[in-house]
Amino acid sequence: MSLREFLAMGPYGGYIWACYAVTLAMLIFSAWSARRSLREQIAAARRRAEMQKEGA
Amino acid sequence: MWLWFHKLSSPPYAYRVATLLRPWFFWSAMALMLFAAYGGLVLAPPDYQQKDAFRIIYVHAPAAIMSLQVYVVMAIAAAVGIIWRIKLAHAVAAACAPVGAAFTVVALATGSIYGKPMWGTWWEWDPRITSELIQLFLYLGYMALRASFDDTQRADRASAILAIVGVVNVPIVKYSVVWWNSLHQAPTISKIGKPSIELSMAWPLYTMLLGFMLYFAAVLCDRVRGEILRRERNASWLPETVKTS
Repeated sequence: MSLREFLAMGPYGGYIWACYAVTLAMLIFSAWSARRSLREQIAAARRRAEMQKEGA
Repeated sequence: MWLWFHKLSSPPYAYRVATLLRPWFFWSAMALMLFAAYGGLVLAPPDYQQKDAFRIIYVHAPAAIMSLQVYVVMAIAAAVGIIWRIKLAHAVAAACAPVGAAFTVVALATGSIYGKPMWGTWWEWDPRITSELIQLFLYLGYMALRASFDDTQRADRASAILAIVGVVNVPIVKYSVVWWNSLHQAPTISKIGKPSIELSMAWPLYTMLLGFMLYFAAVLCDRVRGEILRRERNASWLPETVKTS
């Protein structure tokens, strides 16, 4: 089987690759947004810790 | 065992455990998902009826199963939070919702793309599809309800009740194809006794599902840590912990 045949998947290539692309995009977005909000919380907690030290 | 649960419900301990486990969950999930995609796209033989189009099932079905499983985890965590007044359980429930919503969007979107070549339509107000859409609205409603409260404790309690009541939709989605005449195909893998699928087609499906579960666990670790940091902002253990992580 050639690569072209594999990518075409009969007449269904467009549908199949669209599904895998949607899934991959959602997995990346979901993991990325969780990481980003965690980073923000950590940065905020560090700032608060700094301010506490200066206040003490 | 119970002692360990008790220890785990302490925020600083849970925070450390989540930090420790996250890379293991994440990288094993990546490996399994890659392996499953290779199995589903390359190794599995084409279906005798649906030809190559059935390969969509390897992302569609595990995402749909996760959309229900994540909800059950969320509802159980919310119930534990309400009954035993464990704050960490509410944090877990809140952390589940965005991931569950993401899986539901994937299930609906891939289902819609799957429907076009198989049924000749992108969308149909079919019991399975409609109940899965309600599932998405449950997740979004839960997140909107949480966001509408300034006070975390009140947000926890109100959203927990929504999560627990909403769990009735899970069996409706699951059995919709059995109870009503549906355009959607009947279950293939969860049939009691003999599943109606060949092993060469089945293993990438189970592997993808396991990969999605581990991925969910990894993202949950990050989200729970974020929730803990937000809730315990005045705790004395926090400055020491965030210095190193």
